[in-house]
Amino acid sequence: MDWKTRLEQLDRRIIFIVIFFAVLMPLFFPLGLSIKPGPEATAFHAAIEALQPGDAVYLAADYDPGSLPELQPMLEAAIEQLCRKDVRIIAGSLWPACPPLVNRAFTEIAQGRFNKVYGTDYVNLGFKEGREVVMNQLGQSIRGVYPVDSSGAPIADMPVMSGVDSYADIKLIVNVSAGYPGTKEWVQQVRSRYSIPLVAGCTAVSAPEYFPYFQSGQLSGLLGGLAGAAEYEVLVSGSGPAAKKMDAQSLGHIVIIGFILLGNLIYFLRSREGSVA
Amino acid sequence: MRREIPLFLTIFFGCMMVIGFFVPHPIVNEARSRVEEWTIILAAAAVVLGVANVARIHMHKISRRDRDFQYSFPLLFALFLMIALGVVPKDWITSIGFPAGGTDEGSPFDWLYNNAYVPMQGTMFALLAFYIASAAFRAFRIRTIEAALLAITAVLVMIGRVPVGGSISDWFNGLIHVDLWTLPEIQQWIMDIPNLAAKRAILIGAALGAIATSLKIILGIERSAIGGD
Repeated sequence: MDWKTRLEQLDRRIIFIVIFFAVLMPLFFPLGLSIKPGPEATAFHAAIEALQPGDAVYLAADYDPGSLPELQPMLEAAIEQLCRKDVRIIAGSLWPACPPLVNRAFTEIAQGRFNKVYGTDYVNLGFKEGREVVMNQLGQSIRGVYPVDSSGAPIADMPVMSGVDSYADIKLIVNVSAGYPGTKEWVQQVRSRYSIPLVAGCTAVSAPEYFPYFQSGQLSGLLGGLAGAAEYEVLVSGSGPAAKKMDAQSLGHIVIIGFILLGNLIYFLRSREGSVA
Repeated sequence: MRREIPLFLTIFFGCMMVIGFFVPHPIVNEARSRVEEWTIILAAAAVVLGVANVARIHMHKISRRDRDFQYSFPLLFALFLMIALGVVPKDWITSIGFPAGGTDEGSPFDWLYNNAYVPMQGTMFALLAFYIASAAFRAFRIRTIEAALLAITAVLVMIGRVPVGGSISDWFNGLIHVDLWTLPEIQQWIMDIPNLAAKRAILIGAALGAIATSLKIILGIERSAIGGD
């Protein structure tokens, strides 16, 4: 068996081991590559910077633990920037598995680092089934859709909800989304209809779909995948969990590109030998 | 009547939602808002129906000893355990020594979510990296000009989206002392121009298709949604 045949029939477990170490090593030995924020992340950051203390922001968290490595850093960095701006955060979710992830971020960032008080500075309204209909109903009455928060406490008397009951009282929607219902639906159902500024963070695989909305101005900012999260973290605090993982993603991409080139090199050599059907 | 009533309801509520979107009159808004409230209630009821259906299918599977019926046991166990932990009164849970009940932080539900559900779902998605690497090696063959364009674009975007792309460009530009486009700039151009044109065309086409299909359903031409042909 010649070397081309050996490479052609390469055991996939070897590929798995190579990608495993490519991703693992930078986590222990960081490469320290510099991250330059792109225009989408810069616009996302600027939209939140434009808020005034006391403004109310709706944080629409629409994802689940499968997308946690990409999207949780975005949510945490957004909460950090919102806390620094001293705005009120009203969080809700259209994905059933998301509310505990929002709670985790609030506990670590808002409460743990900024001493914000639940019910006064922020609230987690939890999950509501109904998808686009819920998005529309929030434009009529937030308290009508969510009479109680995620732990069952009535929201009407919470200071964070003072003077806030519909999109008319919200200055910005921050959406972090992994799919349907998510960014596209927030643009179509809410941004277009209520003319409320909207920024979004999404998984890398869905980011290309939302670029038209960013270019048209329907999205005031866009974070795509771990790279977008890392760029945003650099703007918010200089570093963060996503920025630290970008070295691993860089090497992972290089290894995958290497495998594409290697596979095609063997294919090219085989073609020249005339042994490819 | 089994067809006429669902058809009438579809036409009535479909028209009401369309009118409600374009007519800002308070009466129309109130009617639309009421219908949307009903939809949220129906959606919540549908979740209960969905859970009952999953339970029924897997109980049947076990009773018939269908293929892989063993996997239905952990599914049903996890399903009923999480429901039970979520709905039983909080003080019942705290009375047996747990710090919290319901779905609150510190409850058994929360513990299982953080220590079983989150790692398992994370693991499933993490496997993608291994399969993508394997597929890139075995299946991504440049056989045609279109495949070559796809491969070149994929490589440029993959390398340009990560910090190492910028580092390679800076090093190369420094080496030849020429200010060429960097890999992140090339990636940005691909995303902003060709990708945007294609995505916008797909979005507009899909939206027109959705409008046409919705109109056919609302007008009763397309009846598959209500069990018709």
